[in-house]
This record gives sequence, structure tokens and C-alpha cells, in this order.
Amino acid sequence: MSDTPESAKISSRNQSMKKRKLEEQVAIGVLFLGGLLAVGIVLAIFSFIFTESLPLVTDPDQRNEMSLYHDTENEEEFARTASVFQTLDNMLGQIMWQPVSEQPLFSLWPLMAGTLKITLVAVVEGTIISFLTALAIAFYLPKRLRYAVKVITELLAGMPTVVLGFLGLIFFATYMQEITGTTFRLNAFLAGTMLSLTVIPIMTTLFEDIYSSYPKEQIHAAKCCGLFDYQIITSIIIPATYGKVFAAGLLGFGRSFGETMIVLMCSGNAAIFNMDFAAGARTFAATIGAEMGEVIVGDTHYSMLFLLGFILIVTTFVINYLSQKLIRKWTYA
Amino acid sequence: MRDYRKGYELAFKIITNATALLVVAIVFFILSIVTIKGFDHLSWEFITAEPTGDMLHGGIWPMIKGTVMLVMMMSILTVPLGTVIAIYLNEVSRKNWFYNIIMSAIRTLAAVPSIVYGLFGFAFFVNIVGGTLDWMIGYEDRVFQERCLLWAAFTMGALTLPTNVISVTEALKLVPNEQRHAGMCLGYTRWEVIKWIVFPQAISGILTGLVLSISRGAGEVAPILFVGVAYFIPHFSGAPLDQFMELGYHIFVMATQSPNVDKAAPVLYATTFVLLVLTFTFNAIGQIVRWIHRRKMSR
Amino acid sequence: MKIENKAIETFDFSVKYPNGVLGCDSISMPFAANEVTAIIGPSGCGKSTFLKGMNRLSDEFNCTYQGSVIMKNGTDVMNLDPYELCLLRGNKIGYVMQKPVPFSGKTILQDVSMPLRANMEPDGGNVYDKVKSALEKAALWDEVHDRLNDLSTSLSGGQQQRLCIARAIINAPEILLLDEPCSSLDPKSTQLVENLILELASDHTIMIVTHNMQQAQRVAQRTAFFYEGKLIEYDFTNAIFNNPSDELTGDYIVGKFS
Ligand SMILES: Nc1ncnc2c1ncn2[C@@H]1O[C@H](COP(=O)(O)OP(=O)(O)O)[C@@H](O)[C@H]1O
Ligand SMILES: [Mg+2]
Repeated sequence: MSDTPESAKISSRNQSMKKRKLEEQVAIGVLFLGGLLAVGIVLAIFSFIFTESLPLVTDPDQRNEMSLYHDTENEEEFARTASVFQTLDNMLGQIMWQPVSEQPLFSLWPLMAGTLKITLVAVVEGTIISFLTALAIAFYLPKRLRYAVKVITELLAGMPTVVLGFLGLIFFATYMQEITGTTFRLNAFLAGTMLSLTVIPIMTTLFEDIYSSYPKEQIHAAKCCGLFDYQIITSIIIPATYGKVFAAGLLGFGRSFGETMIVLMCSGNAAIFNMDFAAGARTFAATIGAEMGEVIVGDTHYSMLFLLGFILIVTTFVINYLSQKLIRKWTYA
Repeated sequence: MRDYRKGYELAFKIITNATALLVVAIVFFILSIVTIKGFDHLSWEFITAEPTGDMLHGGIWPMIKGTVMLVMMMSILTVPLGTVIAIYLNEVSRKNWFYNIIMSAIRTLAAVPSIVYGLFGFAFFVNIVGGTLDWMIGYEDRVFQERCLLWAAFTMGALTLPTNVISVTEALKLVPNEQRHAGMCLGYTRWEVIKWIVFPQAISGILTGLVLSISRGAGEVAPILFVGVAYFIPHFSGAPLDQFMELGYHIFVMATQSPNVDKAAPVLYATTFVLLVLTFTFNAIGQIVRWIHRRKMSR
Repeated sequence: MKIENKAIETFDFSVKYPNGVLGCDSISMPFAANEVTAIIGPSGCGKSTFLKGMNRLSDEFNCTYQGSVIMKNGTDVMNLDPYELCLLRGNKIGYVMQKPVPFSGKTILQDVSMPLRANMEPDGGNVYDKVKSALEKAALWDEVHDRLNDLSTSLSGGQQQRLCIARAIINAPEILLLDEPCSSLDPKSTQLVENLILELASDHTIMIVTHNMQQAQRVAQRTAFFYEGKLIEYDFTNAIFNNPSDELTGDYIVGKFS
């Protein structure tokens, strides 16, 4: 008799457990669908960019269009047998990018050179400036200013790239030309410099994190040995963290090689194969941005632009992978 | 022997501080030219009126509207989905090889250049999804298989989703495992642990994801270049299946394709000013919300 | 060891971690109802694993089990499905961790009432009363009754641990598992918690893991000595400490190793 309230309680708990069980099963089911969707999206993105560029290899018509040598006597026979090597020859065996012409030319070399030129400028300028700025924030600036400088630097990260591109095009280009005396108003150096502004906030934050997460005790111990700040930096902190610093540089590269708007607006967009920083340049990303609007879905040019997109994805993956490896390998602190 | 160390120390100090000053100066310089040059052309009418055909007169209201709508639709798509995915990956799924692959794929996707999402949006959303919808509903002519605001929002959603998942995942990882175990010891089911213990602590990260994706969405132009944005639409309705105008794209087209750049410059600066105000406002609102939440969590 | 009134008993109970480590190895051990049993032993000997195994928190570490843990009503904890397990943990077995774990962002009132939420009990109006009585039992009410809406993380370490005990007993479980509840506390809080344990022993079966042999002597009627995952000796506390029958136990008690 006495355990009636007790058993009532137990049965009510069992009742509510049914509800809880249902709720959990529904909720976990929804979450699972979310996970499934994530897998789907990931697969979709990777596979779409890839499969849309596949006709360059699999479609005889596209191979034929890509081929640089046409056997005029035996046109049809030739078209059927145009091989993958014709495609590769067009992409790597000549140095012109002329997608819209009688014989479309799709050399990857000028785009590679352009991407390299612009990113090199951006990463070198960005690394130097961010490295020094981070040192200033971590060691040299007056304490009161450190936070302010950090916040102001991060403002740069929130700046839309189209704004930087616009200012580069309309404003900085003129002054840059006066200072450097280049023939072309828009050139790789200008684009790289504007691009470095997008890299600076990211890399400064990364460097700053690296320095400020360095064990304080070691710094204090070094100070007790009578080392100056610069000696601590050059002889202790840099040797212990250069892996991370290098990885940060690599991530800066990853951030800038695919930037579109600034390059589209400031680089002059000339697909030329040289390493002259005063000349124009055209990157993979900017090529997609400039030409995708006009292509016919499904033709060679369309597939080619997707191939460029695929190259961008693969490069991103390699950079991410390398920087993670480097962080692990070269970090002692 | 003289001790040069003081000299070196001073040189280090001067060089680093000068660089920091340079960065600060650049930021102020950019903000001030945009403000000064943009202010001349700025007026109430400029913000609220429709543009005229040559774009040099009238206002930019449709672009503002397009930008805000794009950002809102994108957030509605991406923030809940990103949260669900992150919770699934971090709280429910087993941490096996498949999880590792998915996580590293998501990390790669977060770093993939935004223009690639433009390609994806065009090939997948506009052509495949749109085409399939048209075919399923049975439209004779293209309705969904067109570049439009809806697909632009989906594309932006795909772009910000990985970033979002990562920021929520980071927030979830900050919740110590003891908290989850303590919840288990109270007799919570897996879902109740998520709902009552983990999620409330991760809201801050979810808001961060929101802020990041909103300010990114407001500023990115590359991914929407070919999925729905247009230079001039006389009467922008705001319907999801219409093409739309957008501030960033407007700046891009006017700066690169205007026949007379000198005439266009004042309009451009004013538009840039509006865009900057918009992005910084979004950012600031997000930061404030996050700050309030942090305060609440650690009174 | 023969025990008349058993609250829970393990039979050849082993817990294996996924990396192959046998956390505790075929332990057969009855626990006397409404008494305090102390588990002592050097660190890494499997005390925590044993406790976590008993309420199957080890599931979270992907452990596998052998043997059985039988409750008074005959259910085997190892055979419960996840939902029965939730009911068991919520209502039958309370668990207090080594470090106090207040839920961050929750007020004291919310924190202590967390277990009530799970049961979805209709007497929602009683939450305050239940929290009050739990906090009173945990000897914390006097200190916090005027700040129930402060965050639970704002309490001191000792208060946090008593809050965790209050949370563990709010649903009146039969069994209370305490895993080194005092190891992160100062002596004064330790004393408070010890007194609390002695009081709770009147209507709870308490298992306490401890490093501190004086503590075992102060609070426990019976004591078990674990070594490398095995149960070496289990007897009345007096017997263990005054004349251990095993050499290892003796060495441990006099501090030859720890
Ligand atoms: N999560 C884990 N994974 C693998 N092995 C563990 C884990 N936790 C504990 N162990 C191992 O189990 C054994 C018992 O640990 P534990 O129960 O924590 O000891 P105690 O609480 O007595 O100090 C130890 O050898 C320890 O290394
Ligand atoms: Mg332990």
C-alpha cells in the first residue's frame, strides 16, 4: 500500500520516457539528415566542378576543337580520332590564351605566370608588413595602442574586396604609375599590392596569435638573462615558431591566389606569359570571372573554365594540406 | 668593444612601429577618401530613388534592397543548416575515418576561392536544380532555370556554409567534455545533452558564424557574377525568381565599363560609402550581440 | 565478504578501453545498502573506471564490458537499453565527479533543477521546493538561498562540489557514486563534504573513491583496496586499516607506494 505513490511516479517516468525517446529519435534523425546533406553538398561541389570539365578529355568534339593541327584532307576521320594529347598540347604546348577565335587557344602558362606574379607580390608585401605589424603589436607598441591597432587592422578584413579593387582602379593606379613610372596604368604590381591589403589582416592575426601564445615564462627567463627584446625575437621566438610563420604565409597565399574582384579590376587582365611585374597579368580566378558570363553552356570554353575552377580547388587542397603538415613538423614551442 | 644592442633594439622598435602605423594609416586613408569623396554625392534621394538609365542620376535603392535581400536569404539558408551540420558532426557522428574526410573536405571548401562557388552555382543551382524543377513542374519555357536572386542566395549559402560549420564546430569544441558527461550522469539522453547543455553554450559561436557569413555575403561579388546579378533592371521587384541589382556588382561594372569614368566617380564613391556602411553595420550588430551573450555567460 | 542487505552487486565485472587497457578486471563486489563504502588504491588502478562502469558512463569512452552489475530489483545495468539507462542514471544512481562540474551559463536554481527537467514531471510548481530540499541536504542552502539567480560557476570550489552533490541527490537516488569528490577542495570544504556524506548515508548507498586514507577511515564502514584493476581486499574499514590480510594492502596503507 505504501509504495503506491512510488509506483505512480515510476509509471509517470516511464510515460515521459516514451515522449523523450520519440523526441530524441526525431532530433537525432534531423541531425543525421543534416550530416547527410553535408556529405551531399561536399560531394556535389567537388564532383560538379570536376565533371563539367571532363568533356575536354572525353568528348571527341571538344578534343577536336582543342587540337591545333587539322588534317584538312581527312577532316572527319581526324575529328573522330583527336586524342587527349591534342587537348594537352593546346593547354601546355603553346603560350596563348585566346578562347574566342577561329582556333581557340587555351594555354595555361600565361594564367599560371599571372597568378604567380600577382600572388607573389601580395604574399611578399603582406608577409613583411604583417610580420612587422604583429611584432609591433606583441612587443613594441605602447600597451594602450595595441588593442586599437589590432581592431583597426581587422577592419581591413571586413572591407569588401570590390571596394579595394575599385579604389585601386580609380585612385591608387594613377599615383602608383607616377611613383613607379610603369608604362601600363594597371599592372601586376598594382593588383598584387591591393591584394596584399586583404592578406594583411589575416596574416597579422595569425602572427600575433603565434607570438602572444608563446610561453610567457620563456620570454621572462630570457629577459632575466639580460637579452634585449630584439634578441628574444630573433634568437628564441623566430627559431621556435618559423614553421607556424611559414604556414601562415602559405595560408596567405591560399587566401590571395583565388581572389577575383581586385585582380579583375586592377591587373589589366592581359594574358601574357612573362614575369614582368610592371606588365599586366591575368589569373585563373579572374579569367573565370571575366569570361564565364559569355560562354555557351557545354562548349569547350565552358569546360575549360571549369577546369580552371578545378585547378583552384586542387591548389587550395594542396596548400591546406601542406600548411597543416608544416605546422606539425616545424613547431617546437 | 661597443655594445650595439641598444641601436638594434631602437631600429627594431622604429621599423615595427612604423609598419603598424602604415597599416593604420592605410585603413584611415581608405575610409576617409571614400567618406570625403562619397559625401558630396550622398543625399536622401540617392539612397531612396531608383537609378536612371545612364546610372549617373537617380539613386541606388534597388541595389541596397538587392544586397539586403541576398544577405537575408543567404543567412536563412545557411545559418540553421550550418548549425545542424556542425552539431551532427561534432556531437552525434562517430569520430572515424569518414568523419575525418568530411571535416577536411569542409575545411578545404572553406578556403576554396569564392569564384569557384560561382561556377558551382551556375552549373548546379541554375542549370541542374532549376532545370529539374522546370521539368518536374512541366513549364514549357524556363522559369527556374534562369539566373535569379534565389539561386544567387543559394550560391552565397554554399559559399558561407563551410565557414559557418567550422565556426559552430569550434564553439562546440570549446564546451568541455565533462559538461556532457555530467549531463549524462543526470540521466539525459544524447539529444537532451545537446539541447540543454551544449547548445546554449555554443550560441556564441553560432552568432559568430552568422556575423562572418553576413559580412562576407554583403561584400562578395565574385560568386554571383553569373548566377543572377544584373547591371540594370528598370523595375526591380524583389521577387526571388527575378534578376537583381547589387551594390558590389554595381561598383564593379560602373568602375570597369563606364564610358566616362570621371563622371561616374562621384556616384561610385557614394555607392562605395553606402556599401561600407552596410557591411560595417552588419558586422557591428553581430559583434554587439555576441558581446552581450558573452557577458551573460560570465557575469 | 558477506553482506545481508545488498543495494548493488557486481559479478566478474571488467571494463575494457578501446585501446585494449583493462580498466578494471573481473571485480565481484557487493555493496551494503545505506552504508558508505570507500574504494582506495594507487592512481591508475581503475577506481574511476569501476565507478564509471557501474553507471555506464564508460560508454562515452567506447568501453566494452564483461560480467554484470545487478541492482536490488534484479536488473542488470549492462543489459539496459539507452533509454532505460537514462532513467537509471536520472533516478537510481547519482554520480559526482572528481572536479566539480557546474553547468556554465546556468543559474544555481537552474543548475540544481537540471535533473528534474529530464523527467518532465507534472509537478512543475515544486521545482523550487525540491531544489531547496536538495540544497538543504547538501548543506548549501544557507550559503546560497539569497543568490539562487547567480551563475553556478560563480560559486567557490567547495560550494560547487556541494552543488553537484545536491544535483545528484535531487531525484532521491538509491545509490551515490562519488569519484574523489574532495580531491580539488580545501580542507574546510573537505570537512563539510565529509559530514554531508555521513548524513546522506542514512538513506543512500554511497561509494566513495578516495586517495586519502584518513578520509576513508572517517567516512566509510567498509573499504575496498584496488590494485592494477583488481580487487585485492574488501573488508570492514577497521579491519583493513588495522590488520590487512594482504601484503600489498599493508604496504599501501603505510605509504610504501601510492
Ligand atoms: N579514456 C581512457 N582511455 C584509455 N585508457 C584509459 C582511459 N582512462 C583511463 N584509462 C586507463 O585505465 C586505467 C585505470 O584508470 P582510472 O580508472 O582513471 O584510474 P584511477 O581512477 O584509479 O586513478 C589506467 O591504466 C588508465 O591508463
Ligand atoms: Mg580517478
